[in-house]
Amino acid sequence: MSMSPVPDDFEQLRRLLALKKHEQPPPGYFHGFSRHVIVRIKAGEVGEEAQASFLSFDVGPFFQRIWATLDARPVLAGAFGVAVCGFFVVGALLSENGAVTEISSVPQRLSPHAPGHAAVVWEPKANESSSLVGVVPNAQPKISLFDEIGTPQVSGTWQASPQSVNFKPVQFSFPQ
Amino acid sequence: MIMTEPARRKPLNEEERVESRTTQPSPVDEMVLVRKARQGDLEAYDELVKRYQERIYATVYHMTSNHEDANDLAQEAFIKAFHALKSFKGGSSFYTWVYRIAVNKTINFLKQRKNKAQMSLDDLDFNAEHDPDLVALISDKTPRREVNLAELQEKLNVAMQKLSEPHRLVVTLHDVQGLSHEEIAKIMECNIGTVRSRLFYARQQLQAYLSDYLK
Repeated sequence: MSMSPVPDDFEQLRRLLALKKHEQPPPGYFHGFSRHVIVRIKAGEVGEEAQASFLSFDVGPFFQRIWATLDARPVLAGAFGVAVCGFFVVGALLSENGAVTEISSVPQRLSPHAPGHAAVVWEPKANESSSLVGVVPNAQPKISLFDEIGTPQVSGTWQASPQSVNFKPVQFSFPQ
Repeated sequence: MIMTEPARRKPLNEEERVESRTTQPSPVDEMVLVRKARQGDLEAYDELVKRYQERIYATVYHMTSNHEDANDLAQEAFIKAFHALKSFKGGSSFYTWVYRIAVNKTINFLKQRKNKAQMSLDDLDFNAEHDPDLVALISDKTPRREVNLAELQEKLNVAMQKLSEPHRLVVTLHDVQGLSHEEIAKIMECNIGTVRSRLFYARQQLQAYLSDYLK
């Protein structure tokens, strides 16, 4: 039995493919190849650091990171949920108490025609020439712009009269 | 871009060839360099790149037939390998691992580049004119006697580009770069039988495409 190998049908083709071995890049190409790779690696690291520092101030990635953290840790997500619920409950309770306090503490708003409303009267008396007599400016809260708009205006200029204003005289005495 | 007048390069002398053969890296050295590179030592990685750059570039170039694409892909393969070093377990040699990265990157690139192939061939070196295989091929026995090396180079690359990526890769690794079936099987992550069958089919295809230039 002959042990000679089967003749290769691709001998000519393999010779032709030998031509590919002679295709070479430009002279000196490989001298700078590794340097380019290292430079690009360094540039990539610097770029990633810069990008990371930039993204740390960005809102989108900030929430994405929080979401990713919560997604990865269910216990933390549960605790966060409880904290948020607690925040809302406490907020609701505080707002209720605050509303009651506000109603009880704030005096009823007076109309401009009501006695005692903001008016400053300078009324010196004849027998008290050395003392200043005045009226304490009313400490009522100011009327809001909306109230003013809603207030019916009296024709002409409204002036406070001594009869309509319940003022309280205060005496200032100066050392002689 | 096809270069019709390839420049001839000065061949390596015998001393340089012997030196290049004897400076093959030992596996131990390679693992030391890999360990250092994994810790961020760029000098060690630079050494690794220098060892394998020519083979990686050649493989990518023969797959793409384009120097610029090969340059980018080879560099990107080494960059990707550096960033993926932590995942390198040492189950195979670093050389095989980088090869696999480069090959996968190239195949992905070629799939995206589909039908937009543009050749930018490297020049033939000085040895090409004196290669006995090529001399025999373009002798008066060749059907196309008027053919020159540049034309042959172009036709060969066009034929290579007609092959599918896996078939082109097998021909490149085996017939151009001289890797064994076993090495190719490791790189392509398939069995040796698949490598052999792909090689046979690819050669048949090439022979049909280049019948005018073969006896």
